[in-house]
Amino acid sequence: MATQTTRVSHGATRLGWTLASGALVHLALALSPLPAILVDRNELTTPITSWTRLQEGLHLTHVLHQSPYSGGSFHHAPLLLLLHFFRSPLASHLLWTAAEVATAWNVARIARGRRRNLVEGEGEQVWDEAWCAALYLFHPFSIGSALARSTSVFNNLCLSTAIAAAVSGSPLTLAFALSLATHLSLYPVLLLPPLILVLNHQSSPPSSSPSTPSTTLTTSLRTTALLTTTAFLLHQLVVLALSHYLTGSWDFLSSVYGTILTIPDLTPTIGLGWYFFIEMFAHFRAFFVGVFQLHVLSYVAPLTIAYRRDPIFAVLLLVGIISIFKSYPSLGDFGIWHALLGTYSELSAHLPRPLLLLSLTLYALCLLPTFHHLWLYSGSGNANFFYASTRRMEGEACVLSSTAQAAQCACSQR
Amino acid sequence: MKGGMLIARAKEWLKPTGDPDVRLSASILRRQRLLQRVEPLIPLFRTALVVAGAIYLVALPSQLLGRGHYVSENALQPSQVNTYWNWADVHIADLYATDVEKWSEPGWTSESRAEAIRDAFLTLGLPAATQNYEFMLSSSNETLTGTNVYSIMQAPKTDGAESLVLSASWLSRALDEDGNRRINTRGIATVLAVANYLKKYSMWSKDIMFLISDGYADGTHAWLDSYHGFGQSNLNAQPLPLSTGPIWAALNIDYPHHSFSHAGLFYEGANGHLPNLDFINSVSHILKHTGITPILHADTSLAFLTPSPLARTFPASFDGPTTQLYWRAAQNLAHQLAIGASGRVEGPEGVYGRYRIDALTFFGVPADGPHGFHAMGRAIESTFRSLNNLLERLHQSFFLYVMTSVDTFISVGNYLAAPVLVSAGLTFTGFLLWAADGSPKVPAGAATKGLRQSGVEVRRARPVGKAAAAIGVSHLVGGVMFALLARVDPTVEIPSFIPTSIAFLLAFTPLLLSLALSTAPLTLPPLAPLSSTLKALNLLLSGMIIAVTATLNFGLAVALALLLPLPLLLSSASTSEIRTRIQQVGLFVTSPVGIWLAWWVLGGADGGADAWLRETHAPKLA
Repeated sequence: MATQTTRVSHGATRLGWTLASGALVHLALALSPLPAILVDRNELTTPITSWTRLQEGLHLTHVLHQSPYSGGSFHHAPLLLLLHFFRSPLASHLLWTAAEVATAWNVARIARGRRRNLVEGEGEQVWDEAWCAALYLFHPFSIGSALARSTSVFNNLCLSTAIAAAVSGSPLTLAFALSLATHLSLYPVLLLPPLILVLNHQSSPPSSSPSTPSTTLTTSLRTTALLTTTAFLLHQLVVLALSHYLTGSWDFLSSVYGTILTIPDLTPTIGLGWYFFIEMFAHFRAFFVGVFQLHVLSYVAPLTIAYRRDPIFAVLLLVGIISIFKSYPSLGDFGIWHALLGTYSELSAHLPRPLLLLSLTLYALCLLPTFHHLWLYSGSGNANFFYASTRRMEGEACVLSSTAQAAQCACSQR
Repeated sequence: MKGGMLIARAKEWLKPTGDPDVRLSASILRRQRLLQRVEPLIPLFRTALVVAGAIYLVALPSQLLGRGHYVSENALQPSQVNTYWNWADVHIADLYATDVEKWSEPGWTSESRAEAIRDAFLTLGLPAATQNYEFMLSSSNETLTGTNVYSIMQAPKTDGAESLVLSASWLSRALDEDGNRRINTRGIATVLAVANYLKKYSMWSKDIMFLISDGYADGTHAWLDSYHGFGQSNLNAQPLPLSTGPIWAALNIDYPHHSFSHAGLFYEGANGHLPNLDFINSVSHILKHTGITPILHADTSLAFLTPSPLARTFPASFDGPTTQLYWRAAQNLAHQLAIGASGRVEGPEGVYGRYRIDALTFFGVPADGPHGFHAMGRAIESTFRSLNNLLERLHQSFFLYVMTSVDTFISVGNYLAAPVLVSAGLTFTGFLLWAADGSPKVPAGAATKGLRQSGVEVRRARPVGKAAAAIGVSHLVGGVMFALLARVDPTVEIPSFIPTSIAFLLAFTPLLLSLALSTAPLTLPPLAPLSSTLKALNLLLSGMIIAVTATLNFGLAVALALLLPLPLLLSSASTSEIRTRIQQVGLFVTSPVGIWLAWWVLGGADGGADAWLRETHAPKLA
């Protein structure tokens, strides 16, 4: 018992050091010229997460006292208008770093929660929770997003809080955090079903013995689902009412959620949506927007059912799939996904060809700015060039997603 | 009997019976056998890729990969107009040339002659202005200053939302006997005379700007930065009082001597950026119709087919038109690749690319005849009439190409394979080495000390952290050196011991480091040797850099594809002392320091290769 306590305190100290050094690195880089270079990079920011656009919205709301959504260039969630007090560079960097540290702490909590009921297989290695936190905090994607002050950082914070809450079995925190994440980027609502399953597993872990009456399980699941969904909906109502209070109208519904769903802003991102709808004839648009969004939705049920014994894995896959197929993705979304994959570190022993995955990512990272430059600055390339590089990025993410599934399969069969 | 068996086997194959486990194991065995057959061929395959890349590069100048000259943009209609530039205008140009000669006398400063040129534009009734600029060089107080003059002719019939530029820099690319740049006397006179001429016509649909920039490329650089409100930290340039719409194309005139024999076309921008191919093709088409022979750059010997070096050693029958065409294309190609790889701006036309302006320099190669202002003026008029027709920016034709002669070019699809094949070979080797590192096959007969039978695979860890740190640190050192170099004052002669000692330091530090970091080359588990992991990662990195650079700067990609495979493919861990030493010498010779030293020893700075790169830019008059 005593050794266990010292081990835990050791782990906590190490986690503390990791978080502190991560915060220091973030703040040190914030003083370098990097933030000015990164703030408008389209790999890191999108129309719904850009710091430049957020500043415009804050100026419209708090200085000119106009509706920020009247101009058509502001698509951030209304609650982000509360960031008025963090407009100065120093304050904003402090806030973003704090959010990063909190996210990393959440990732560590998820890793700890998973480790509790994990049996290490032969040749498998389970990473320390400090490692998992470091994977997020020192991930170039998340550092870049934080320096560019992309609001995807807050989305990641809410998302990781929600998953950590589910893993530690607190339905109200889960509903609260997921509702905020949904408010920020809409897609996290898709995670509700698998997260309810995670929650249910924590309260009544499924035993392999057939003697457990399945009716008890179903009842407990029903209760958890009802409780969480109600809390989620109530919280959504509060958030929407607050948004209406903050902006004074319901304009934000179409300007925020409408933009996410129908993709009217075709600023190139690392995703696929902008290219599809640049090329699309107007009369097909509605249909294909529907297909584009339903496609993401279609993953929820099969993955939740397939991984019902390990619903955290379903959450993880869905986070990845949303990052790939959401309408305005950025590298920050991939950062949290990679960090969450890190909590499944025992899969790394079953991961074939990790170097291939790494070099595919590196190729994509080199080609994205190159082709963006060729298309928009030197004019010697065209949109197809940049689209090709975004496809490389998405393709790599798909390969990673499927290898992770294969590794999970190999791992669960041992 | 035999037929019956075949049918039975086919049936078995189509509709298998029997135990599925047996069938599965049979198919796995079959796959393993196949892999065993293929495995010995893999090293051959990777070498074949690199060799194929090299062969492809050698094949590039052949006629098979190139395409003939054509104009893709219909609006251009090159040389389909009557030109009205005539001897009266030539006379005016001659008078302006006398003025420019007067302004280039010693008593005139940059500013006073800029004012004189501005007054000449104002006399024509065109609004004109001057601009002072100052580049701060390095950390010292050394500066490069000058004064630009420019004038805008408003389009008579439209709102002038777009504009074209006709420019001439004060200094020419041609050198005088002392090796200094000549004054671009007739280039400036041409711009003034053409300004006087073009304003008489009302067909212009685009504003035409006339720019007389000071210095060689620096004045154009400062003017363009101010025009686009975009600068660099060490440039102080006055804002421009006159302005118009975005610039679509620019024609730069370089005409230092009294007459010229050929029109040399210069089009390479900084870091391998090129203007649209339609521009070059239209201009060369127009030049031919004006009676001027266009050439690429200024090597007049390439205007016609010349005997290839084969002719000296082989019978004359080897030296047919095919060989001669190949030889000419190879010379042009090598020159362009070298300019791309050097990445430098070679003239005023090179700085336009940054602002997405298609620019071309039209160089009157100094000679005693036959062409003069008459041909030059007609060619310029015709070019501007073509550009005036444009409804969109030049976009129809290629931006990624290499010219093999004025009439032929290789498009991106045909040339890209050369560096990409090499890059694929390097990447492939990197992955193979990485895999071999992780699970080495112990050579048969090696003392395994009871570990296991030979040929059985074991896994061992790779020192990735150390290797990545080595790569990172060497890149950091390179970055710091680059930053320091950028602070060196280019006008001050550096003492000769500094480059030598830096070269010495750079040459021997890696050797010492490699002694400190070296591990036994054939380590058995648990750890793979650092050298092979480092090599594998370097191979992957090099492959990636060549492939990505190929889309940006073909010349640089080819230079890398020639340079990187040698050290990366030829070196391998060895226990033999002599082989190790030979490899160390080889690595040193092929390292950037080694190449620089060789360049330096062979007199590259004033003669040799550098002269080859520049000679055609600065032809001396015989």
